[in-house]
Amino acid sequence: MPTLAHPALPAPVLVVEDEPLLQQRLRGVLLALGYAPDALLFAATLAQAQAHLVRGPVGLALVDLHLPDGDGRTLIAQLRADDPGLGILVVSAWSSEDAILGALRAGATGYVLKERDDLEVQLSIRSVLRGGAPIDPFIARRILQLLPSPPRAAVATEDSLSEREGEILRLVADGLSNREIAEQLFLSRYTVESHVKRVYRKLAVSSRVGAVREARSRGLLE
Amino acid sequence: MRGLLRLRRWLAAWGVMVAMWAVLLPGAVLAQPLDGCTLTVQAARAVDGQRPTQGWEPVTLPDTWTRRWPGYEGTVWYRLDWERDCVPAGPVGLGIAGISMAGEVYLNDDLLWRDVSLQEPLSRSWNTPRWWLLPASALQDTRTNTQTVWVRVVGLPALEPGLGNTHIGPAAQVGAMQARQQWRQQTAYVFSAGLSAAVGCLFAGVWGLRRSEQVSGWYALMSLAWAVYLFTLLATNPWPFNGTLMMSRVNIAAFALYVLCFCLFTWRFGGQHLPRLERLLYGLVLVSVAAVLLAPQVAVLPVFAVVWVGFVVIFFINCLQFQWYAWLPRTGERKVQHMLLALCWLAFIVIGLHDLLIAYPQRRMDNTWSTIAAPLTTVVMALLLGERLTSNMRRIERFNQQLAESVATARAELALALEREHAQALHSAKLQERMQIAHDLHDGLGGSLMRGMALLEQAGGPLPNGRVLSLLKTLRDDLRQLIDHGSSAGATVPETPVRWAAPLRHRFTRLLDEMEVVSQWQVSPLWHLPPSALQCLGVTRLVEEALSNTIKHSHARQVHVDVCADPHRFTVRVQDDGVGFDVFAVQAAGLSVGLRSMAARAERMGARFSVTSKPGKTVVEVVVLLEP
Repeated sequence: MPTLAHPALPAPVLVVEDEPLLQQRLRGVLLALGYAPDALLFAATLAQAQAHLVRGPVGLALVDLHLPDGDGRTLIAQLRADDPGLGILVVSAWSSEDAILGALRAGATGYVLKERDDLEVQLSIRSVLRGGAPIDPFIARRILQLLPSPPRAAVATEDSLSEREGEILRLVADGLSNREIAEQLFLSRYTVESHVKRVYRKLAVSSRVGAVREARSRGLLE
Repeated sequence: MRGLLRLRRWLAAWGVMVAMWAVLLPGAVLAQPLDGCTLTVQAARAVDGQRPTQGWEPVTLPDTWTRRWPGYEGTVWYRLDWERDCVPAGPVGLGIAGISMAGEVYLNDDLLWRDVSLQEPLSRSWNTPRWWLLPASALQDTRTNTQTVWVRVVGLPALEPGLGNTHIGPAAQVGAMQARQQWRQQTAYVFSAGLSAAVGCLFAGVWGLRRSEQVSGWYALMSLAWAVYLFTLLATNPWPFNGTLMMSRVNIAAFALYVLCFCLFTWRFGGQHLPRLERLLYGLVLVSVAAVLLAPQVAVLPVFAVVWVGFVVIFFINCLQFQWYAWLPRTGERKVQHMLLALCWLAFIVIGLHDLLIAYPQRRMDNTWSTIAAPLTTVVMALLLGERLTSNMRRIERFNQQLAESVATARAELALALEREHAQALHSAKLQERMQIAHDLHDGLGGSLMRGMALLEQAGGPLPNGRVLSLLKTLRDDLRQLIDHGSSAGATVPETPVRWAAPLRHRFTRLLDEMEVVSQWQVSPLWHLPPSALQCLGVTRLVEEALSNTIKHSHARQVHVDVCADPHRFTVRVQDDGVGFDVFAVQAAGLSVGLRSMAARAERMGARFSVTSKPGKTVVEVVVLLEP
């Protein structure tokens, strides 16, 4: 099993998880990735997480959505607001598609289900560390429904998909991996991943624009 | 308030009626003595029709010669002598109220006027008032100053032959009087006949469209009979009959029919049930009409008299009995409608008595009141029907309101019932769904649990951690399948095989890429016949397990996944080039939880599952047979 022993791993890592056994599990996974034990901050509640954040910024966050004192999404939104480049991975239990999509719209970089094997969890963390953006076929399908596609040759706006982005999302929706997409479109894997990240940003923007639009329509904003 | 309004309406209607009286009665009430000339009248029979020279007898006008010469049929000459200076100056007018039947008028020896026909079919002048300006040149300049007007009359003994009232006087006076008579004897009758015919048609229409409206039917017949009766009075020639006598027969018959309809209308209107009397009346009318129409000429006079008087009596009796019925009802209260009709019939009694006792004996057709009978009934009927109509309308309005209310109530009840039904259906659907979930838990998770427990029991010693873990993972996968099946995504069949394979492909390609294992996927683009949602999920779990095993145990360098949607089968084949294993040995030893749970899963969804393995080639294949 190849490990990534990188001296420049972003630290510290904030792990927000209320179940001690699963905390231990994630600790194991992170140690296996090459983290030092003192680089790991554990929080069982949102309050504890806030306490950690007061002491200083974090380099990576693994966040569970269901916490004893609230929804992890608010934490994600706060983290994203503080650091636009932060890697935020949702480690979620039996979450519905809507919950996952909500987390992504709040600013998460990716998600992995707790039920998956350690190997898969490890992979997802590594993907986030590499600066990639893990994306699922179902997420791709939902984004294709959510973000408007402009007519051909039109310039992509802040919250609409470009032609290339749409193409990539459709391939993701068909289950192709980033490698396969890169091969099929004659792009580098890095280019594909930066497209996906841009799509995520647009998703966050569109949710903000949608929020503003909503607020206007409700008369909360002038 | 409403009662007051109604009273005012009645009064207004009575006002209209009184106005009618006023219009129709002038002449009768205002009959004034005429300062005309004194006439000396003589009559003589003329066998050959020529002016007789002898046989003159003094008579008074109006004259009916059958009283003097019973049964005489033919021509009678009337000689009217008068003094020229009875009209001191100015033109002299001659007015005759009627000639029964036809005649000609001479002043001295000059012919003044002559009926169209003086032989059968005779002209009918009996009810036509006429007047002439006597030409001065025809007046004789004699010493005695006596002038003579000769009137030749042709008549039938059955039809009261003779000469009506005759006046000679100042032309202006005679003209004015004749105009009044014209109104009373002709115009009023025409008016009445027209009204009766129109009303008759109207009510016949009502009855024709609604046969249960017997009151309308009888009123229509009554009006039409009266119109026919008046027509026979007004006719100036016997058309459409061949003789003037026939016209009179029809006249009497029409009256009999009128009385029949009058009685039946009264009874129907009042709701009087008199079946025997009704039959009797029918019979009487039948016999009378037959007698009137068929009686030989010699017997005509008594037959006419008997029938006429008989039906007049019936008419009066009916008018009277209805007074009792309306004012002193045996059951219930007096009804406004009945009282109004009774009032009208009371008026009829007065009219009838007047005509019978005053007008007819004097042969004063200009003095009858019966002409106002038709307008009177029309007004009363208008009132009664208007009342009926408005009360019906009110009833309909009330009914509509009630209908709207009950529809609203029914609708609300229906909505409530539907809601209840819907809630019940929802409840039962929930119950069913829960039962389904329990069933699935029992079959899927329960089965795996039992297998795991059996394995642990039969192991005879502690199992290695890995085995226990894989057992638990199987349970987890079963639970995942249950949950996915319960979710919206699991409840629908993916649109295409590509969509179905996408999550698996995505997940495992990433893993295999990370492990630097080459993976290839071959997926059919479309379903021929889509499998069920449950089958989709089941195959997903199977392939998941197969690929997990490959990753964990095979050390393969290449993995090939083939998803093939044939018309009759859905096949997924996972092939790797790993180390392989002895399938039989593993199965026999009962070692592999994964393999057994896969087989059990395939069995549950009725799929064919096979594993073949040798070093360098392990193939796991699951085939779902599809039935249309």
